[in-house]
Amino acid sequence: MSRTTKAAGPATLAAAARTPVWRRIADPRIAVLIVAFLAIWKVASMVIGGYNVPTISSVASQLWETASSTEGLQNLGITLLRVGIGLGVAFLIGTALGLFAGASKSAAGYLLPIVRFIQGIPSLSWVIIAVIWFSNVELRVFFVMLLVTLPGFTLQTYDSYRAIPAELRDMARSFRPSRWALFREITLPGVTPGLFTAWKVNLGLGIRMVLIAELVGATVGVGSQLLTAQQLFDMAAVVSWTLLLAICMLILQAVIDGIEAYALRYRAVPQQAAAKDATVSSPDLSAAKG
Amino acid sequence: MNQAVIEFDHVAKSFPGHQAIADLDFTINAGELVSVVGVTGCGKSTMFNLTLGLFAPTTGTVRVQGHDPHTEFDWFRRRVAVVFQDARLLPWRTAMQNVCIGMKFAGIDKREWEPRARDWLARLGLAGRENSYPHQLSGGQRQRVSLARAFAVDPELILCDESFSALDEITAKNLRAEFVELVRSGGKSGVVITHNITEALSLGDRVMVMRAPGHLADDIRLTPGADRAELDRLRQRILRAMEPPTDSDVGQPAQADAARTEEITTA
Repeated sequence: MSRTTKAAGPATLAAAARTPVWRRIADPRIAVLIVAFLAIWKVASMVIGGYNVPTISSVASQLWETASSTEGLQNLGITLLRVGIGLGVAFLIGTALGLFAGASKSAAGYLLPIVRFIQGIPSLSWVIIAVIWFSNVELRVFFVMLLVTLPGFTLQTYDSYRAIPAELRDMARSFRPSRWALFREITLPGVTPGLFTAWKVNLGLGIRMVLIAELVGATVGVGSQLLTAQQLFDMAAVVSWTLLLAICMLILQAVIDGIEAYALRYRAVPQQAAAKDATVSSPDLSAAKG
Repeated sequence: MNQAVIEFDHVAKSFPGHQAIADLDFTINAGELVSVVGVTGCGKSTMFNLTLGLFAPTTGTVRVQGHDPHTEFDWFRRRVAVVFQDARLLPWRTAMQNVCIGMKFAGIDKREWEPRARDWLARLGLAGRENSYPHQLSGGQRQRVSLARAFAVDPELILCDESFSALDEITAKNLRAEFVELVRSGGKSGVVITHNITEALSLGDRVMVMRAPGHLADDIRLTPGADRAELDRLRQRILRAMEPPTDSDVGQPAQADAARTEEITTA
């Protein structure tokens, strides 16, 4: 018996999954915003002038100098490395704690109040505590990064874990899976969307925090360069370093968006409404015999 | 062959403040396709979960293929599969991957996943939809994928928990027919929980009627060939059995209902 089906091909799905990131980069509205920003900046530098609002050309020149010099790239690289290590470790520990809390009610009862308490402490307090506790600058930065970003990973993972439908777990359990298979096929994909959200939120938070931590005692890194520029009243350097970091953050955000779009491609905009049962004639059950 | 596949021996199950099963005593033999009907709250789902081994009985014993489904939970891997009321497909997996996931959980050799999944999807009318995600499929197609997921494991026993009740009548009718054909042709045993009497009469070799608090109110064995009048009589009998007991019935449900078991001829 023949049948009619409407297939949404894999190519169509893949295209749907890739579209958002590409569109975001090529979005003409972004170009309009950049032009408007530059225009306001130009006017401000002409009206206010001096070292308060440097010219676009002086900042561009400084930016190029920083981005093309070994020392500049080294400072930027070290800051990004600190962000990466801090976020990476916070991600691993925070995710593990979130999964543990999600899997065990008693663990959640002990862990979550602590994590929420840590989250409630102002970031600046952690910086001051780090300065008093640790003489090593790297340790200070790492400590601050970890304490500030860990709660986000833990709580987001915990919430995502709790949001996994019990029906899916029951379905999986009905096949008697191993614990590892259950974790890999149900838990991990279930918390993944939440992890992307946590990464995006914590990336911005981490970059802001690493700068504050670097202002206190670091001799290399964007934070220390900003401190030097502030002491020299070099506004062009301040703006160029800030812009450089902001650009890096945007690139990293785009990378995360890209990975997210790929990993969560199943969320792609539905194609033309799925074929109704009417379009699928009754199957040929003679083929099913035997 | 009358080998018991499911045995409930005077099973009771209580939850805090609530007795879900009072005294459930029945045997389902290998190769039988049995429908279980009853009103909401009569203990059908608890019976289902006891069979699956998700709960242990408070008193009495449950045996599935001679084993305790609760304490020997892993023994049933590949031997039992379930089709739920909703398809319960993983939204992050395609139709093909959703069928494969059952085989993966059941520990079937990886090399068999794809050919088996492709074969079962084709049998259930989903050739060409292998790479569709659940949200791209209609309700009926999703349920077909969940049927394929269950059958691909090649279990000896298939349990359905109101698997066709969320579908429109035409789709449900087609899927019911497909399900019966697949169970019969595969030589499997099946238990279908439903609240739909027509569905119960059209599916099985036998209709078990449950009544709250969790006991068997009637057990009707069916053989093909009934006319409309006979089906109507049967429908009325099931409806009566599903009704709450009168004062005189209270206290001796099992004994009162056991006498009603008889063989009925159906279409």
